[in-house]
Amino acid sequence: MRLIATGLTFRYPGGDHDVLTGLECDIPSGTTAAIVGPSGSGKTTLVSILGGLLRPQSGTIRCIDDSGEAFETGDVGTWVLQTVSLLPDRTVLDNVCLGAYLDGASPDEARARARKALDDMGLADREDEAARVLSGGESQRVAIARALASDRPVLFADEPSGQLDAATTSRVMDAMLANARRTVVLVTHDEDAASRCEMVLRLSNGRLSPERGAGHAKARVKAPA
Amino acid sequence: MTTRRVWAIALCVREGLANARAGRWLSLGIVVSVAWLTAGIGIANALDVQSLVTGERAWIDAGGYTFVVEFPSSNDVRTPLDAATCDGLSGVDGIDASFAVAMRNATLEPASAPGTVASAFSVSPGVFQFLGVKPVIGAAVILTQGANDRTGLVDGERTAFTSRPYDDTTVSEREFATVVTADTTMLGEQHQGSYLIPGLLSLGADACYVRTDAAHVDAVEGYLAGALGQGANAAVVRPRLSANTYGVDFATAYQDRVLQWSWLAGGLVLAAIWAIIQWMRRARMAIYATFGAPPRARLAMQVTEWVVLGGMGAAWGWGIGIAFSLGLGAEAAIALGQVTGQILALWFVASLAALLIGLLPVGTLLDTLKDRT
Repeated sequence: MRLIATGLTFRYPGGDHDVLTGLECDIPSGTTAAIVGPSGSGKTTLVSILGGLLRPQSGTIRCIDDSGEAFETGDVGTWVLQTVSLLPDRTVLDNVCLGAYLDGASPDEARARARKALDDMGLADREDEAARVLSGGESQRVAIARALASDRPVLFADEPSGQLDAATTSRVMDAMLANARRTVVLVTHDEDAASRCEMVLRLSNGRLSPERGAGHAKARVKAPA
Repeated sequence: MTTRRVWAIALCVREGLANARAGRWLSLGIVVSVAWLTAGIGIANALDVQSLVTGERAWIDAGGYTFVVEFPSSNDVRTPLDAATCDGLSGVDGIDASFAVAMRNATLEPASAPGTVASAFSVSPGVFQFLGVKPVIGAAVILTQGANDRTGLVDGERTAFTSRPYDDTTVSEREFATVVTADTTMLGEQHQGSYLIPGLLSLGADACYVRTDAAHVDAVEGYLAGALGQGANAAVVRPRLSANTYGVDFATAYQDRVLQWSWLAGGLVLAAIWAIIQWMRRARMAIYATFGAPPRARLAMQVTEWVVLGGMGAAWGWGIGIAFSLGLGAEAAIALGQVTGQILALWFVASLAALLIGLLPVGTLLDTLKDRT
């Protein structure tokens, strides 16, 4: 699934400056793209707009599959959020199943996919526990497992390794980047994690600039005015 | 053209059910709140209506919805009413029973109870229907309250009565008659302790008693003056009881009940509780929205959860309401009608509110998830 953003401008209500200013990018289908930048540069805002969680004041986002059919990003994307995004009353297994349900999986199929994803995240023995009893790192791994259990073609991940140790981060990145057909947009401060992506884009002053892989991945970045 | 993927309704319902089940203590709290709120409102209404019905029955038994018709007296001379016309009024639509009464210038005393002399009144045959007693063929004496206690005579007993005129110029008469005992409270104090002698009142009557019901009371009151009047001489129609313990008629008291609107208040209370819960759990809906659940899918989840929890609570509340209402003295029909009606109305209001709450936007999803709101 190819992601094309054109002329994105965004300012938070009551804010005194644009977080994004005429931003453009093109992330080809199946590409893993890391968005890096200093704290407060608008990385989370950008990925939220790309994923349909926020609406920009101007600009468009198109999500096009290999046959040229366009989709809403909210319908084709799955998420790993920076904040805890689990249903606290539900079991770990229920939370992960939600990822598979989005693809129309039957309950049996969803449970099978969820168990495999939990196994990949080292949480197979926690499936019956309520999500609210998990630690921050465990919750993050469950959120990642939920994304892995989904077959949606785009994965938006906002600081997925923020609460994980180095060993676990490596394991999580392996799992997240394993699906060669999935487009991954990764927001991270972790240079090692970013280095594993095919494309690295730096966000600064509301605009994206290519750091690596833009040519290979055909990302086009609008030059500053 | 953009292709939209839809959330299957089955998935929404399944998630709503799972959320209801996973809520544990909160879900239980919602069920219990709904149950006791609905039960309390149902019980309060059942007992309120029962109190009105009981009061109205007591009022009717004391003579409510009964009119006394007579001609105004002039120099202690009163124009007699036609007793046959009065008696025949029971055939008129809206009139339950009627009878005519005339004071006899004599006292009566049962032979078996010397010293129990009391006034005697002649009454037309309609008195049997009016008092709800079985008509007696042949001579009869109806013992009113007081006379019954004083004489010790029992219903159906045949005994001799001695009649003595007030002016004492004529000879006393002694005649056998069948004793009929009846509750004559509705006739008023003036007849308590006296003897009523059914028969034809060929010389006319002093008054005509007419009983109707709440639905016909106004129409009957308007009808009676003309029906029993004689040409230009209109009869005076007055209620047997001018007021009751409520100060208003019972139909009005029923219509003006404050508690009849308690379903609305209860529904709004439940709606407020539900709104607070949904606001506290707004991040949950934001998570679903993050995964592409459109507003109608989130609405379906919330409504499913409400239907399960609210439905269980209402059903439980109905059972509690019926049981407590019956236990506290409400009649079955009143308990069933009031509890069921109030709970259904309350639940409808709360469900409508739950629907509207589900339609509220969840706000900026990123803000919600980060608790920036």
